[in-house]
Amino acid sequence: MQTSFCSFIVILCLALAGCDSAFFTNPGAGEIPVSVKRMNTSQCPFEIKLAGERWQIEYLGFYVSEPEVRVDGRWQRIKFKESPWQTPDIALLKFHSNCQNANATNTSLKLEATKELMKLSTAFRFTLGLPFAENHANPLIQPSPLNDSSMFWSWQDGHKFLRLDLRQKQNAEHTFSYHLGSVGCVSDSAVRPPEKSCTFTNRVNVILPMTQLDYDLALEVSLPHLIMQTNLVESDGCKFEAPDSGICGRLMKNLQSRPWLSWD
Amino acid sequence: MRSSDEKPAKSAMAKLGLISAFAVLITVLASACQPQSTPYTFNLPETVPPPVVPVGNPLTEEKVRLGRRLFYDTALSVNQTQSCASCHQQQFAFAQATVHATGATGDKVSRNSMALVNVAYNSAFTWAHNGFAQIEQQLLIPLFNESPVELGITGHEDIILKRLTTHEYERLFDAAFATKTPNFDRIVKALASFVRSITSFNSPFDQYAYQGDDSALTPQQIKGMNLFFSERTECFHCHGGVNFSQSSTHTGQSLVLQPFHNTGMYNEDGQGAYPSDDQGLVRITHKQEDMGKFRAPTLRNIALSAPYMHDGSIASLAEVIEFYAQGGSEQGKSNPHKSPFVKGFALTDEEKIALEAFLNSLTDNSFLTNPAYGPPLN
Repeated sequence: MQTSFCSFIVILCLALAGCDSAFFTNPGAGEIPVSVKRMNTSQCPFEIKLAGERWQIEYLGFYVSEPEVRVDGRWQRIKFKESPWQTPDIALLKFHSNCQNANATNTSLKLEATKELMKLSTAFRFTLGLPFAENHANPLIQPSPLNDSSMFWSWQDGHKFLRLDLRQKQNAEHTFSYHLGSVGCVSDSAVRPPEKSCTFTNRVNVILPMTQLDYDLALEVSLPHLIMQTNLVESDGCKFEAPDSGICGRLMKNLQSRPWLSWD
Repeated sequence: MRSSDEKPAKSAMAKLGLISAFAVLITVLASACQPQSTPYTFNLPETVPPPVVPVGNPLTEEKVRLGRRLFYDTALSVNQTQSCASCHQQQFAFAQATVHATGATGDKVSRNSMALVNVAYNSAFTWAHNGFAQIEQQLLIPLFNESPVELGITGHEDIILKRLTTHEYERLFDAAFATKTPNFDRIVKALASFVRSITSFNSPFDQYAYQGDDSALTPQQIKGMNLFFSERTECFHCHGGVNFSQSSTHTGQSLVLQPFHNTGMYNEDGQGAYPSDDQGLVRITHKQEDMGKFRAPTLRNIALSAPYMHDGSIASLAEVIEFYAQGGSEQGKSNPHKSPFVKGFALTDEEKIALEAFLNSLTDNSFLTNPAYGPPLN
């Protein structure tokens, strides 16, 4: 009797393990590591070579929201796994090293998705930025990572969707910052949210084609593509300006049309 | 067979039940023997999340009461000339209206006394130290520091503890820690509890921003606030968050932020050096890029805590605004370690006055006169 009972347990375990991939989410499934191409992480702050110059990356982070995968020709909404870095609909990625404190980076997107779903998907899309309601809400009562004050601007303009702060290694006085967020937002003051959409929402839709059956995914940020055709040495960057002004327009075009984010 | 198996099991269950009941009884009796601790409740607006309180030092009314008594007691200094309140005075937002502090024995403390405003929300302490996560750790500096001497307890511990064996202190320690005996662990926990209880969220800005009172700010203050939150001035980059300092956190915030910045005050050697008597965070980390980096202090009640900056070298808010408008001092603006957000800005005189008016709207008069934060009545 004992032998047959043990056999039954063993068979049950094997059966459950076999069903795992079909019925349960694998621990690693849906996790997409994101790295920064050619970033030197052996020192702090991290460094990168851009347009022939060495730069320290003092800050690099961006919000990703509303993730979807395309299955059988239809877009299917998926959720992020909740953590200090993710709400079900929003994730914050941060790549720069906070030299004074450990664990200040988040370099992966963790999706509530099975291996099977990822294998069936033919594309992954998301918004670079935040939805209107979350963007302009009081950060004090929003869940992490929406209450990260280094990524928040004001109730009126909302959050920084993307923040990049660079310092030139050979000329440390020179810095370049790109702070992308909604502009032209109308409200009574900086601490009152707008009632309707801003003139320039500055959200960017990102679509990444996927290869079916490939579920072991990783993304790579390419800063050379992000800053292409801008002169980092001559400019101090673009911070919450209209996308038609100077370097801001170029940077927005790069985000919209160049492969600043691609599968690794 | 089955019934004989059940007997020991039942017996074990019965024993387990007896042990559990006994344990509960002991716990009840033990707690009955101890004084009742009253959990401290923060008086916060609905929209302000509570601060993080360390598990090792839960906040109680009794500890806050003892801490307040200690905070105002000169018995804590070696020569009984100074208390914590000597350098942290309520009418100045618990800062001090002098360029720098002076210790109990006359030692010059090189830095300006920091205001104690919503310290419970700090994620870093002192002007430039990345090693303190809690008030309890920071408090050891003013109590025990030998160079410079502040309260000067080191080497005089027994004498100072003996001063705290009066009938009043026995009663306060007993209520807070269930023992009449003072020691420095309990003293630090009580002081930290009182300091943690000092909160300020009732300024005209709070009434406007968090309570939705459109009339709480003047049009000039609103204009200044809009400038404060604009890319023109960049103020908000370092003075953001619940406490107008990026070195702030609360129970809903999990992410670690960078709270230290070089504002371009000095550049002694053209390579970014600050004066040797105080070079900021580099003294702790020994990393050159931390030269001249200091923590952005809270701006709440900032109008009351002059003079300004880590060395108290700027006398007025108008001069601070001018300093940032110029992108640092004449010598320091070229400092290679300077924050990218201290680039200078062009404001009209009217706009500068509006910006100052906004900073004045961060003054919380109820905080400055709250008797619960003042010296205890005998």
